[in-house]
Amino acid sequence: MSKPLPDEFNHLQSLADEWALPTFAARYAKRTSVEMAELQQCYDALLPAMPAIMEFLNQYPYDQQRPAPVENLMQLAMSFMDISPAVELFFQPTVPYGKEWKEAQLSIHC
Amino acid sequence: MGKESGFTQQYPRIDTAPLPVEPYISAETFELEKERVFKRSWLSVGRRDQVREPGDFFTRDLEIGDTKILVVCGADGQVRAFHNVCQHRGHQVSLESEGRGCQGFICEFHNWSYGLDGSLKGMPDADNFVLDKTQLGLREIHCDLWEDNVFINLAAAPEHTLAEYLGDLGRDLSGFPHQDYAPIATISSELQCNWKLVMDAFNEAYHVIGLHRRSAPGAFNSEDNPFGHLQAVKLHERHWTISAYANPQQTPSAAAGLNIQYSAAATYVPKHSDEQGLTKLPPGVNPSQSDTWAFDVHQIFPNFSYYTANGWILCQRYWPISVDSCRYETTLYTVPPKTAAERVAMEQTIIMLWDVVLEDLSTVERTQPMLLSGAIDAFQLSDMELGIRQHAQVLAQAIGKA
Repeated sequence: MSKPLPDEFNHLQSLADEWALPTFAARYAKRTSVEMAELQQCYDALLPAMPAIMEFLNQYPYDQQRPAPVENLMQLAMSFMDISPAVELFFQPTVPYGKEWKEAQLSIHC
Repeated sequence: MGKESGFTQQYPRIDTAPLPVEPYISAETFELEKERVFKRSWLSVGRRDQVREPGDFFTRDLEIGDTKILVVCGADGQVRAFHNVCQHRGHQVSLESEGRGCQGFICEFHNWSYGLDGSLKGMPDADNFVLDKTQLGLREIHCDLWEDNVFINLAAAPEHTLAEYLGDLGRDLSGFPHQDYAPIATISSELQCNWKLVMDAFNEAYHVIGLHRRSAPGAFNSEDNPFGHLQAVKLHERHWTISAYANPQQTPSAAAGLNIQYSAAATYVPKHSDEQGLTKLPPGVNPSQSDTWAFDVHQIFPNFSYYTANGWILCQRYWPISVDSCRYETTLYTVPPKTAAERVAMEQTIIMLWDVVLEDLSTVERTQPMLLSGAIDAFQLSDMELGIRQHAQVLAQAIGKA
């Protein structure tokens, strides 16, 4: 368990090991480097858990350091958001006919 | 909505002929734009949050001004802009893109040092020079603020003050809570196309039902408004506003639904008018008082798009580099997340901004080479693309080709 989760989310452990990634760039690189089937599987497994995950994470102020398992859970939930357009909208990992994403930069300030 | 109820006819001064392609590929036009527009106009270069406290600074490349600039908050709290050029032998003084709380600037080459107000403080072996230090500060550039936006003007004597330049549009946006929002994410990209192609792509909503049909299905059109017609187009002397339509009946995706529940600003899912507090907005925001309003794009001539919406703003700039290359940059500002869940919700806003921008930036580089094919001489523009005509007309007048 390289990326432990809070106990109540143990059932998502195998996903966390793959998808609890610390940066947007890492999460987007992962999304665009795997097959659609893996994205669908990840999305389907996280979707029913998301309401409970959000309720849990809502107890933690964003501007304070969180225990590692909580941080991992947050990163996993951010991966859910980052893969959601691929699953819900594009039906492929990348934006169809989109600009090559490696030719642009995204920096996050918050 | 047919032609008889269009926006264009409200502005008889607007030329309704097809728009020539030539200015998008002409090196001569590019030089005129540089000399007569970009070196004379007020240009948005950043936001006050980047230079909030004394010693905060940022630099940026300004190819279209043949310079690099340094913007800094002085000890007196005033924001000033300078050419980032050492007065000794022309090296760039600051090599950093940004910084906080610095005491001054020291040129890497021979260690000449400058204060936050640009004054020359000293140099090693000063006795070996015959010069007047008081005359050798960093060369200052006109700089002023409007609603926390930092503008510069490269002219020796600008024709207008910033307030005069922004005119009615600037006044009509007064009272919007511009200062309440913090930067969330910035996207930037160099693009192999003329800068006007990029601004044009954000100057109409007609492309939404085409290009964004996958990423934003049913968000900006509906049975009532199948083509996502704009809610308002308001042309000023040199600036203009377009306001986008939001489908109040749209069904959010699962991820967007979580965003709405937990985020202060769900970028692509505007709330219904009853919750928007529309009456509190100044006249420049949602100018038609539409209850199906999504957001406004205030196009500030020549190259700045300032978006206002319920709960967020977005600053977008298009920087010409050459006739067929430019730099695009956009920053989203909203209420920062307070909890870890709100940060996760924000991620849905960020990923949609990113994926949608990747759609927007895809067409412009595919278009530019085709403009050289000789197979298209002019763009055919609809009433919904009136903003593109306004930009072209103001530009043509400014470069003396109207």
